[in-house]
Amino acid sequence: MYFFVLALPGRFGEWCDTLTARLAERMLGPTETMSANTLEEMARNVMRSGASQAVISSRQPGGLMGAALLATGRNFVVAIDDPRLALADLVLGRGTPLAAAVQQVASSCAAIANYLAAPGAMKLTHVGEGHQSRMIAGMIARHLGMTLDEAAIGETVEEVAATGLAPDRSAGLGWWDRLQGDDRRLAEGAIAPLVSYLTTGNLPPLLWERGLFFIGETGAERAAGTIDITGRARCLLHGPYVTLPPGAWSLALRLRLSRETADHEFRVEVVADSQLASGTLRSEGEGQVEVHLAFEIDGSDDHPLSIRLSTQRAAFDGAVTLLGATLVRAASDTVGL
Amino acid sequence: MVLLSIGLPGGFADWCDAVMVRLAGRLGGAVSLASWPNLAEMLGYVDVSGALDEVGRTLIRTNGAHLVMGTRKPDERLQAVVAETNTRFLVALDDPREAVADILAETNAPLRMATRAVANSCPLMMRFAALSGALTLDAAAAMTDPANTVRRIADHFGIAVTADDVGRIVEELSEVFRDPAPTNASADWTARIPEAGHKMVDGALTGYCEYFAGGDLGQLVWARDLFILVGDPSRGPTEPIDVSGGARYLLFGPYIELPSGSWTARVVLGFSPETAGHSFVVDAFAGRQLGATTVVPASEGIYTTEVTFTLGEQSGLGAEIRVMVASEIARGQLAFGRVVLQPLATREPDVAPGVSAEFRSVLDL
Repeated sequence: MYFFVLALPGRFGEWCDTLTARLAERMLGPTETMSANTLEEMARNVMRSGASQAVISSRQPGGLMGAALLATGRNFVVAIDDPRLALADLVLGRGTPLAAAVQQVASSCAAIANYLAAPGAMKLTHVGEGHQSRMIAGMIARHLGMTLDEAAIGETVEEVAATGLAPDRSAGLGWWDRLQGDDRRLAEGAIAPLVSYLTTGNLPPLLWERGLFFIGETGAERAAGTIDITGRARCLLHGPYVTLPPGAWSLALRLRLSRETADHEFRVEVVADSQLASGTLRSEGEGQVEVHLAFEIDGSDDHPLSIRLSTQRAAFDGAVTLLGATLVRAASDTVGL
Repeated sequence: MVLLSIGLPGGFADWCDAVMVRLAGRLGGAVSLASWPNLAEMLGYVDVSGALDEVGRTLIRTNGAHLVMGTRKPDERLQAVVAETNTRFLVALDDPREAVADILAETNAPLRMATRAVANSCPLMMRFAALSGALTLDAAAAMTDPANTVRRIADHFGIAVTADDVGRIVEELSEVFRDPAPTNASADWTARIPEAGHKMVDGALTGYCEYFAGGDLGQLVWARDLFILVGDPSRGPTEPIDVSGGARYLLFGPYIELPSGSWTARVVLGFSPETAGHSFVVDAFAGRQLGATTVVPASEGIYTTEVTFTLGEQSGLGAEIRVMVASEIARGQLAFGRVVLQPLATREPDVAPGVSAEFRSVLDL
């Protein structure tokens, strides 16, 4: 038997995973917790562990796994917290670099929002310790069809608390408020709109700063400054590998080109499971340019979105600086969550 | 718990699935059985890769304690995970020609599609049978002593069974499966497949029969009935083809997977006198062109041309041989004979880590 907990990264999600697993264990015996965002990951983890019952903990549920879950009509748990606090948990609690943490939290918000109002979903938001924890544990048990009495539920909550895991927050919003400069822009542009999205369903434009992108074909080096285009035709930058909510989207990619890039063509692609849009930009010399592309996200993708910028022929000189990307979802796609 | 039962489509693999369901039942908890892909998917010309996705989807759908996954077309990703997780599994091998006869008995599928479906599974069976976690069962040998076969399967998966359990399983299944591995001549595949199709079935599959029996792969022969005529996909190139009408492909197919490695395809073509001096291109294709050769008949007659190509990972849709008239002004007729495929060197999966390590060391990889 498999119980699904879809949650944002952070302590609250971890607490929900562990609590659900311990509750299942009381009813069924040994229960593993395994993370899986795709059907393939789930299959691999079940095959590796040989587990017959498990809590499937998903931070960025992919389209195919989500569709399979919804098709069963089975109940599942969706645990959300303020994305800014989830970000703080990752950065302060786990030492995740800010850009990687932004990428994880933003993807998680978009992926999980698809299930907040889905049939079978029970939405849990952050709770305090003690009495509220017991109440939430009871709600999880009942929603997932676990026949446990109040005493067993209370003991399970205490058992989880004894491990040091609690649904508290490692940091308040003070950490977020103290972010400054590039860090502030990086986090605010990608995460703040999602705070609004999770609470109201209204999604303001997303602003992806260049610190979310990577240099080269497949490299892991962040695109901090200008990129030298000298050399063979190649991919100059890619990223940010962030999941977007379903809908019709428009992308504005802002670049600054050096004088030497004149007459060069650059290819811009938007890719998820497959290519969603592409366009060509012809440089007319030094200056700031903007590339506009429109594409559709249907929610069935397993892979997050990336933007790729490539040269089309070899260059002897020249430089490109990514200034940022703005993504706007069509107003008609605003939905209540 | 996922119990993988991999096999060629047909009665023996179904029997093995059923044994595993009953054995898994001894472990306690609900047992689900899923067979993937279904025959309609196997017979079609669509990519049915995604075995792991299907395992995940079935786990969610069935939610049972144990899942017996009967897999008829495993893929590279499943192979990687099986190797990585040291998963034990079963490979049920039958005479592939019997598998074709079983499909025909169960469906109204055209013989060429049934042959293709089984031929597509065979290279994958070769790969999985070579993995360390495999218990490979040959239908004819296994069914001479079904009780012993049930015990072997139970041992392989570490499931404790008594003699009574084994006897009950064999008895139950003898009522459900009349004869999962027919051994008498009257039920032989030649009696169940129309005689006109014997050459096609034999050519495409005898090489695998020999391989599964412990021999070499030898050669495979793709008869013309397996191919598709451009302009009329329902027909094979069984009649001479008029080549006039400009440069174009004349025929293609059969979209059949081959074991990874290097191959020579000898393509037999017949040309009428009017085709003399005109160019024809024969190529091998699997997602991209793998090799090509040009034939310019000097006069009428039968020509054999060779295309050498190398296949990497399984492509999903399988390999094809295409014949194209390259000349805009060509006239006359072309007759398509057959394609004889000979492996030059096939790539074996990494079955012995020690040996692999030696190679790496010697070659400084």
